[in-house]
Amino acid sequence: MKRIRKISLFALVLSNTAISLGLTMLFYSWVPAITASGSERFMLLFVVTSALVALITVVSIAYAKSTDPDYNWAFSGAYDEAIDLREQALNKHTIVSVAHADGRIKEINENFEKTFGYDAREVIGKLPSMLYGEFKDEASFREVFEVVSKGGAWQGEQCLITKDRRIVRVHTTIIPRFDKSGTHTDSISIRTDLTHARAEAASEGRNAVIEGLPDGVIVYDPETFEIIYVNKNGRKRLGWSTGEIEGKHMFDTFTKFDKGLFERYLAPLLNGEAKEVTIEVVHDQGPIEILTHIDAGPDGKPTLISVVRDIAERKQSERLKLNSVSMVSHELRTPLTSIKGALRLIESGALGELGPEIARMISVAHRNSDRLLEIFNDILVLEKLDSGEMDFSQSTLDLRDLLREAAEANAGYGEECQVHFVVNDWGSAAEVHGDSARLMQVMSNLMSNAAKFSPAGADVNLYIQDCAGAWRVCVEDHGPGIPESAHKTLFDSFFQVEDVQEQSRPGTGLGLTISKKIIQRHGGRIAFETELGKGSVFYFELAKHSASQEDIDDAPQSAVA
Amino acid sequence: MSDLTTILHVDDDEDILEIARMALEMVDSFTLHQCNSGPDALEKIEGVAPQLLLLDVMMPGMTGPDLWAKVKALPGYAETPTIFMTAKAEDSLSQELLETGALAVITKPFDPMTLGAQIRAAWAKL
Repeated sequence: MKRIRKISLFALVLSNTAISLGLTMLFYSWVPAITASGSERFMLLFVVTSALVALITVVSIAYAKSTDPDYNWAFSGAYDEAIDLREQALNKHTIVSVAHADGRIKEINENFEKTFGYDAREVIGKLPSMLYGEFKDEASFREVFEVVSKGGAWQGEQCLITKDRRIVRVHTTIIPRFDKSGTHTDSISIRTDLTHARAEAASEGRNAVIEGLPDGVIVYDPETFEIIYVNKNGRKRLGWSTGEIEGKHMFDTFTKFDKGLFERYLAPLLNGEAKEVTIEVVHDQGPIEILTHIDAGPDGKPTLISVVRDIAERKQSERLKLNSVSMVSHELRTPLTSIKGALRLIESGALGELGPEIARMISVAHRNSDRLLEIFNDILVLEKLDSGEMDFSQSTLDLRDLLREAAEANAGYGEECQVHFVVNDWGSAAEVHGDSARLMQVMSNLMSNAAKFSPAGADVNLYIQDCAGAWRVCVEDHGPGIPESAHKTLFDSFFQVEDVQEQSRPGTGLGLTISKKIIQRHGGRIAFETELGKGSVFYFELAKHSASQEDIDDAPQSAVA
Repeated sequence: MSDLTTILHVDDDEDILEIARMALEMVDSFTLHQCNSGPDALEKIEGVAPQLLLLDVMMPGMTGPDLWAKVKALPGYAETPTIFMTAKAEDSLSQELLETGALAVITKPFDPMTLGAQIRAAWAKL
């Protein structure tokens, strides 16, 4: 603006000089008395004429400025400079845009381009609606436009969206401008980016709270696993000083870190299937539990937060509880031995023939004593799994063998339920590292459920699928399917689906819970797909065996510090 | 190894003793001698001369493993085959008993109709 004023002043002087010269030459040519007098009179005439023209110019400008009460003619130069500096400051430190009265953008500054990622050509002439998203409790583009288009000013905090879909938090002031007749001509929007300030404030607030937590807390990038922050107790557990955190990754937290297992552990969290994931591992310093969830920062960028808890004391009390459960189990099984033994002898006819009704009643008593025993056994297994006292004997096994053996072992049960277990061949070896007895237990649980819920004469299919880094073992039935009301609690203890047909073989309600814990101890996952009226597929996934797993006896326990 | 005919069964539960008697004498055809405690068994063993010991694990006072140790110290009984019966469903206990020389470990509840066959099957491994 200053440059423009200088140019204007120069132009004014030049034009005045030209006018003066012109008039002088005119007078010179018109008035013979002056013409005859020579160049001295010419110069004198030029000076007088120039002074007259300058006087007229000054008086004219003064008159024009005097009608504008806001204009301080005496200090105009300094005033213009003050405006220039103010505009420079605004442009440098704020995000500025100017929009026509109809809302279309007509000017933006450099900060606008840098902040939102659009260059002028992409936004000039367009409504700024591309910056607005759908945020709860935030004014929408329409609401703001409603106010401004009627000549009103608007002010408030906004979450706006950049070209690359990041969220930017700004404080916005929109001021309308009017011409002399009071017509709304345009609006100027001045914005201050609050994103970094908020991020720092949130970070400081968060850090103050979690720094003092008794559990270790690690914050890290979900893509690179680079560590961003570790609280005091976390640093103490890892033996790191504050300065040693930079450049560290999650892989540095434990010497025997299993990257593949860690990624599988986080997978449900990262693909949105779960809001948090938990795993128990055995560290050099004892058993720990790691609970991880995703946190979205003020800029929308996600981070992972893992809380590491020492559970040695909890494990100890679980062991004591297990000892109690073991003793109780013994005390319960002893009388059950006599009950079952006596019923069995009577039922067999070894003590004499029974009338049909007595035989039926004895059968009922015997069957339920079997069921009672199953419940005792399952409770004990569950307690052992929860306390970590169950031994897992790891070896390399081919899942094809597991399916074949499971079909043979459960064939009798299938016949009782009038279903046929069909093993679909998988052409090549499908090797995993695991405990064959425990995996057989899982297969028996899944197959017995499938048989119980299948109609008479139906097939239950057993097959293997390749899922990139893992093998998936599937048990597919053609029963009624599972209602949605049961989906969330299906793997809970003692939960049983209410079948549309009356079940003649109710289970203990612990089979799926036990199966889930066994698979989790193998570092795998178990899930199901179902369709009402068509059937269900229950499946579990285990990592494919590789040569590097030979040295890991307890892979799920030694994965993470 | 000769056929198995004489068994000494020790258990502190009277009802289980009754069930086992029916299973091994009525359903099967063993000659069964029974005691309800370790000290009682040690008193009677010389008169019974059993070919096999069938011992409960958890008994008050003298447990089954304790009794076994004392029997093995008696002249002529160091190598007597022994089968344990237990209601404690712990894999580690069974493993430990087998590793210390037990012929078999039968978990309770047992099926009285097949108990005899289980014992014969274990005897056949000798």
